[in-house]
Amino acid sequence: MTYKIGFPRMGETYIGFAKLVELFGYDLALPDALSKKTIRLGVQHSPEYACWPFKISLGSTIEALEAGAEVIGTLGGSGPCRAGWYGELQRLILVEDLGFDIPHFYPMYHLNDVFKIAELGGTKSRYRALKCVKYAWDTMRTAEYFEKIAIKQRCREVNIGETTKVQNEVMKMLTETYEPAKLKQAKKKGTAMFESIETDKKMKPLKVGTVGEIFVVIDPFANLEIEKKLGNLGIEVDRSLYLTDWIWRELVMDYHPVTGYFAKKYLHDNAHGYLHEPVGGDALEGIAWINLYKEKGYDGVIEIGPFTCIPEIVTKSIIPTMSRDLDMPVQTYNIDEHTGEAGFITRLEAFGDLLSQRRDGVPLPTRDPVTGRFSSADFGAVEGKA
Amino acid sequence: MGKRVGIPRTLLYYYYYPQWNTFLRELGHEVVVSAPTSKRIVDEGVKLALNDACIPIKLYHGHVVDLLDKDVDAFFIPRYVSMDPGARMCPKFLGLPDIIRAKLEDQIPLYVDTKVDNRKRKHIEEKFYRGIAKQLGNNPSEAKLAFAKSQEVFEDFRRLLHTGMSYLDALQLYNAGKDLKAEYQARKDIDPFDHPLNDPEDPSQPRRLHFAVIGYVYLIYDDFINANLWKKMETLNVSLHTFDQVTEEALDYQTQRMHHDLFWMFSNRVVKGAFHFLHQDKIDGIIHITAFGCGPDAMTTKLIELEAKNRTHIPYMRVLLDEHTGDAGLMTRLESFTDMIRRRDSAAAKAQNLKETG
Ligand code: SF4
Ligand code: SF4
Repeated sequence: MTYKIGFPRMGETYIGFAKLVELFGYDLALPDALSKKTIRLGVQHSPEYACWPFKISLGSTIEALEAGAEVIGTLGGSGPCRAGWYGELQRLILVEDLGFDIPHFYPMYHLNDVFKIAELGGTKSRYRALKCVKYAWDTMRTAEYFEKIAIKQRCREVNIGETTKVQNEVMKMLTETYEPAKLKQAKKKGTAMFESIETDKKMKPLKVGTVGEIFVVIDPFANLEIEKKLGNLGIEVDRSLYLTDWIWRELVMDYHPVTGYFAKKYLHDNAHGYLHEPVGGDALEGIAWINLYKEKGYDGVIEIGPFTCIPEIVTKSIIPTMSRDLDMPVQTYNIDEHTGEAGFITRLEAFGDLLSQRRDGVPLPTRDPVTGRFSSADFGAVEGKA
Repeated sequence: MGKRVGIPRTLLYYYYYPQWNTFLRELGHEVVVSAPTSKRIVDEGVKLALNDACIPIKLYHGHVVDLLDKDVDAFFIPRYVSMDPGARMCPKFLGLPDIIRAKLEDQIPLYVDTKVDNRKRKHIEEKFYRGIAKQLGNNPSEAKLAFAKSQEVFEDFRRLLHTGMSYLDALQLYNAGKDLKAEYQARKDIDPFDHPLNDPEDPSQPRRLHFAVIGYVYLIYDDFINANLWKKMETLNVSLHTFDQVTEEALDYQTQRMHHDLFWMFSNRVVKGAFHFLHQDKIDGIIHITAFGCGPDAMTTKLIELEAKNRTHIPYMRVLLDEHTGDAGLMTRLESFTDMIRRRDSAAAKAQNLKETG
């Protein structure tokens, strides 16, 4: 018999995970895209001060169970933060508080847990399982590659909204691809699609890097689509964290064959003077990347952490000093279910203006960060409304 | 040349102070402890620290500020990464020296911020203390002797706690220069659950109650932040028992009730302490003290609550402390919690009586 499997969603990474379990031989019980409902479920059943990613992933897991999942694969951790206990605690809540019956619940700690899941799905051979992992990995990396292009390019698009449209299309294409050769083609085709978007080549946009806790940095729903909003304001974005990099560094090996550096040492060296210890979560990365963005000539950095996130409190405590020393504007955000979109946008716009003032002496052109449209006050004639 | 070394009176002060103090004194330094927590210290801490930090970390800032005008040569802000293999301290402890440095860099003459990391190997504390000695300008052979001495004192001290003495009482003995070994001998056969006021033969006397108070040491022992918990409970005729009175073996025994250990040493101990008391039928109630803004507690609380739900005959109460915790409000809650237990107690006694006579 074929089991139905579900797992909590996180940004675009679900494409890779879905691929993995499908190849293992499962039917998918994919939870719906993260939504207000996810939050409601998560908040309702989580401890009040649990972190935002905990609440979202619990909500998403409940949605997977509602979609009929019999097997749950979920976050387990390499500590030393709360994430290491997500799986366990969520299982307790789901079983003891909510009365779900989940015979197969797998928090991922080691590669071994992946093999266990593979076996349950019917993929007994480890060699075969590893091949599936490799394929899913490549899918995930391709998805990230597309995201990277999108957040870099969005600010330059001439027809507003086109990047997002293309992004959705290429992600859909990845979801429908199952073979290595096709995946390569998809990557080529996707790249070409992005290239065909009409852009303003002469534009010299402001550049902002994002750092912070991995879940909220990566997941557009959890971070109120900050990357898209920045893009719509006309700002180029770079993200310091991608899931595959993280997995590689923390779970596979320290040496990164593509970039050719020892990641941990690299981070240590770059955080030196401000943070001398990996305190858990993504604090050391954050501090190191503020330094790196300065070196790379970025105009500013945005730090995003969930409200009550422990390591990000360390980051946030250090940022003011660092920002002053490096002469680098850094804006910090605390996000949870109470974060209001209006206030969020106001702060984002103010930051954009600040960066623009610093560089060009004038504020940013007024655009709506949600739609990307120029405000009719400035460009009324263009829009034909004057 | 001896230095004046300042120690903030919070966080791990409530766990390691006897060892630190012995060690530093043996090396010929003078130890200056910040003043007991007060409104002023809280305010200073709140002003200086990040708004979203937990209360204990804000307090720590306040205590460091208090030391600033005490003419101290070196600030003792060691980096406790891990003391138990497999567990770390809360991330905020790990980043503490960096946080303080970011705030007060130029105002602090010398940071003693050696780190101790026991994750991989046990017993590297000696190296840690050697590091401290080095930062203070002492040589390794002095450090070795001082460490041995401090270790001995600390072991005696902990043994004394295991007899059921509270950290604060033991600290008083230590500060008064009492012989901890002798104190231990004198107390080792006394059952902490026996109390002179507790006379089962005399029913006119209300029974002495025994509560477990669960929470981080810097919350349960700081009289200001917990609004004088110990004195209050004494007036209510209740004895308090804490997780640091439980031996490590007994705590480890509770691991079987958890799926795997938590990542933070003290959270681990708090949870295991709670489990220990919940499964030991000597306790009449559990008070769980948590701090506003504490990350790990979101998880420990849930774990403890789930376990307490299965052990309903032991009432459980949670107190959330923040910088505005009202004295009066807390007192009322503690009183009604205690009353509730006493009522239950006498109802049970009546039922028992009926059975026996009837
Ligand atoms: S890093 Fe932050 S969000 Fe992630 S588990 Fe830790 S506290 Fe929670
Ligand atoms: S354990 Fe909780 S109270 Fe203690 S420092 Fe960490 S977050 Fe703060």
